[in-house]
Amino acid sequence: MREHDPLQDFFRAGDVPARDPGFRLAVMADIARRRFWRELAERLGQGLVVCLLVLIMAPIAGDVLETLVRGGESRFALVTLPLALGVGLIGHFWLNGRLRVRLPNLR
Amino acid sequence: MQAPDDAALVAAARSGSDEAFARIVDRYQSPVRGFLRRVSGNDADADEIAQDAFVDAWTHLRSLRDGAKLKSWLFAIAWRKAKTRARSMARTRTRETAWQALQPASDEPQHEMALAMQQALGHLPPEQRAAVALCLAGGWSHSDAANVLDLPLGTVKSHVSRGRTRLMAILGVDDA
Repeated sequence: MREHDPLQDFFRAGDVPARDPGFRLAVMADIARRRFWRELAERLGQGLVVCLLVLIMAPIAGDVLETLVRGGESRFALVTLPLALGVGLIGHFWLNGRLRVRLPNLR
Repeated sequence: MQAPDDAALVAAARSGSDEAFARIVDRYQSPVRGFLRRVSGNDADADEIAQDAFVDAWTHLRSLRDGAKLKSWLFAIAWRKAKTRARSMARTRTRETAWQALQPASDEPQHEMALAMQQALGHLPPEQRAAVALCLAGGWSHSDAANVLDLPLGTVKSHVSRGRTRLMAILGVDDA
């Protein structure tokens, strides 16, 4: 069996230092930059979707508001239905543990 | 305290820990950069590819099924990146060689040996160079190197054997 490989001396001479904080910093800075742009793109996408929804819903919302202001037969239903929906959603999130209400300690 | 193993670091990094990923970089930057320097023949290019490889690894960390195979996965990314950028690296290398020629020669024997090895590796075809860098310099087994380089085992064995003989001849080293 060979005791010493002469090529190893040549390879060892070109070894990179085991720790290089500068390199780690460069990688982590690059990652932070990518994360920033990715999150920015996500937020822009979400904002765009919200804008589109508002644009689509605007005429319908306008009609509803007009009916509410003018009054009429459907007024009661138009107020009750969103209220019921809101209460239902709050109840749903509360039961799933996603909504927590901290009550004051009266004892 | 015992250092966390690769699988634990991968799991932590996947759940969003930058500190865990920084430890992965610390652990593997030296072997990955060493491998790329030997493959590319240009330190600046190699470090740039290594940086890209680590950022790519962070981006695709979820695709790594077995965290324990992190090392070979990282090397495989680095090798693919090195291959993709081989053409542009060749252009940069020409500039770098011209720049290096203007630099005063170092008196350090370590530097001279590293330079001699770099030049000798430059005479080998890329895949042979990569196989030599992994198996002879990095101490990888032939089968692990075959996985990283995506080559048949026999091809890697032959690359290593021929590469070794050729390096010995170029460097004028006796195979005692």
